Amino acid sequence: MAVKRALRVALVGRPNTGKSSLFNRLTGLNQKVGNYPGVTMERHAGLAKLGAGVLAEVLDLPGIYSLHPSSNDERVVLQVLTTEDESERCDVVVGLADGTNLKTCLFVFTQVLDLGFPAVLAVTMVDEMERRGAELDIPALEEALGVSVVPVNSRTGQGFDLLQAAILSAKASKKTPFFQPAGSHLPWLQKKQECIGAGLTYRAWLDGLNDPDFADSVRESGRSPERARADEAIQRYRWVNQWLRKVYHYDPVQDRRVAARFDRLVVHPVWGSIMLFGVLFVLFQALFYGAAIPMDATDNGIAGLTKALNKALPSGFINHFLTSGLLPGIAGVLIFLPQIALLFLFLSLLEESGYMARVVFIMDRFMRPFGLSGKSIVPLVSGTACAIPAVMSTRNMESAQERWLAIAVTPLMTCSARLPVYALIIGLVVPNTPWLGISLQGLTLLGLYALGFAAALLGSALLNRVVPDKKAALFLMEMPPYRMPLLRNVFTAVWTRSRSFVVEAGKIIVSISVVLWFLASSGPKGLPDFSADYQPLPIEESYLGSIGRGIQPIMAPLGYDWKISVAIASSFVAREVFVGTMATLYSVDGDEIAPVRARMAEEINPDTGKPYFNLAVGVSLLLFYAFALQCMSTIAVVVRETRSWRFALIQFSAYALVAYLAAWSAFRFISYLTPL
Amino acid sequence: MNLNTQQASRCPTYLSLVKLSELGVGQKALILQANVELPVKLFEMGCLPGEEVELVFAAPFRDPLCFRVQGTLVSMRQELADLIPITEPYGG
Repeated sequence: MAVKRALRVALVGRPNTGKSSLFNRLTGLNQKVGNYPGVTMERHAGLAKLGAGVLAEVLDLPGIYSLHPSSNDERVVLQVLTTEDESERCDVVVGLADGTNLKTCLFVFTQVLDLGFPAVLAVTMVDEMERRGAELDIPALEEALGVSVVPVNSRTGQGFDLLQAAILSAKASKKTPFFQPAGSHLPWLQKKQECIGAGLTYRAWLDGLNDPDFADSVRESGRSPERARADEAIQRYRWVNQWLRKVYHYDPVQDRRVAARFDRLVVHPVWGSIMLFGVLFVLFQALFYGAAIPMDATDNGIAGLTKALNKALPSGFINHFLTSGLLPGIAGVLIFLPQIALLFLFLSLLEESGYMARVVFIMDRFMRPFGLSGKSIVPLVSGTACAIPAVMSTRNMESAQERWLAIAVTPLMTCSARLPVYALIIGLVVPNTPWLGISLQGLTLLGLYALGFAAALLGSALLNRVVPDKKAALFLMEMPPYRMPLLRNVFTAVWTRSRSFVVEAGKIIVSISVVLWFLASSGPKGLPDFSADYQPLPIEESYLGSIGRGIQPIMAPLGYDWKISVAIASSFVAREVFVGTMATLYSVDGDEIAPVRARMAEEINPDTGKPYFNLAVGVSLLLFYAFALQCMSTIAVVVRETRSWRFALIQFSAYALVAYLAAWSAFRFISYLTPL
Repeated sequence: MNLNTQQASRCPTYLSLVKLSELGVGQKALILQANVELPVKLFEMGCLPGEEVELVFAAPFRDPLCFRVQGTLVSMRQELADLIPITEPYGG
């Protein structure tokens, strides 16, 4: 394709200025979500056609309050804007300014102009501006800034043709600098300019103030780097206030009074809690029951396809590989899509409307001791349905520390895949007698839910102690105004998340499940061959069976025989496989819970002559499944989200260790209490 | 106002009179110069000496707190608001 060297356009602005709306409008679904090198932060880039034949790469940079970095977001933006790499450089910057809140938005924009970028200022939320009677003299603002100012409406697309034209003809402002360092800073600024090669004073200023090795030189000016940054803020705001008084008239007293009254209700101890509980309840219901319908449909569809394929193909290795290895693997990816889509639908509605920021606000006091913020409520609650979408939902967190903590502990929540195992074991060892009028079995299940929740919170608090955040971001957060969510943004979020799950976590899940299929269907005595009468080995004789028997001595202290060990080894795919494997091992048809349970209840321990599955073995198994990370899809998604196999392996091992210790102590303790 | 902040920076006892964390919901005050080094991000978000600040709403147990300053809502924890001196509150 002979297109002109793509222009690179960066979108820079404060959070909540409608940056992603503008980005989605410019690029459509032509987006790629990648990562910035070295940090687990999403890089959103997309292609946009600007007028005749110019294809531009548009970069949606994280929202920032200043070019001086206080957080990872700001570090990334500064790095992108000041990169030396010619191929990475941005050609034009589009500054974003919320028309109902110009003052603070112009602060960052004048910083960008002082870096010498050809720039355009896009004024967003113009519909709201009009409704609230804000008046902006655009020519006068253009005159003051020295660059084009374009009002745009991302809902209707109004003003986008002008914006595209302005990007193509963008020039650097001739009104710079908007900030002039005091004369006492000149010696170190000159030194810095020599270090980085001749350049703009502001570039040297940004570099010098954020370079720890340069702090001493800066102090010679009589100001600490922090003090100098504060001086800059004061000077810039003075300039902005001076100009805005002349060009911008906005007095939303009435709107503010109404919004404040609503906010007091939202954060109210009683009404606010009821509201939050209601939202989380709907979220949980949607994930647990709402998603079940499309999940069953996916399940049935794949089952039908498997059956048809099984019939159409001659029996043998290829048939078995496709119907038992590959298709179940693909099904294991697709089955999560409804939950992922639903969760991101909810999450982006919460974020877009402005409610999420209030949740963070209300929950801050309660989550602080655990190293988490209110944002972690979403992964923890959705973790009770399934850890996979829950781990993915941590993407919306700004704090890297909170994000890894949430990823580390979310799989401890009692997910729905544990339920078949719990149902099997609880029915087997807990008597169905009421205790104070409550079913003991139900109480045990409730206890397991509470255990998962407590383990997640305590785990997070512990990890936060062990690996404290050295660059802890200050809790200083802007409360966005309430806004009607833009459907395009919501659907783009759902689409890009679902796609990245299928493509990136999907390939790991399919590969692991094919490997596990091989291990479960072939063994030392029966390698697959291509003859027509190929039969997969029974699980006892397969590699997986050997692994299970191999780990049996390790599992013996927990009270597990070789059958349980094999079932545990095979349920690495997913916890619920435990039930199916037990059924196979006990030669029970199908994988319904009741017949397996009945057969297991008859099992006699040859050493004692009593039922094998007593309370000690049962509780030991329950605790093992409460803690062990027996879910390859969770591991795949953790690898995808942290970009680190090491993280996933450490997590898996730590969970295994805790599971083992918990199961062992429970088994020993209960065996001691109930002597034979 | 300028006079006020200058006086304030010279006279630490005056500073300790009212802190931002003591503002009642709906009350306003002017931010004064602090005698300790505050996080720069605070300034960059618009919380500068001389600006008017209003406590718009507070979380249960009054922590964190949400203020309006320069037309935006900024929320911060009590521990930070404790460090910011303000004038005698008014309004509300």
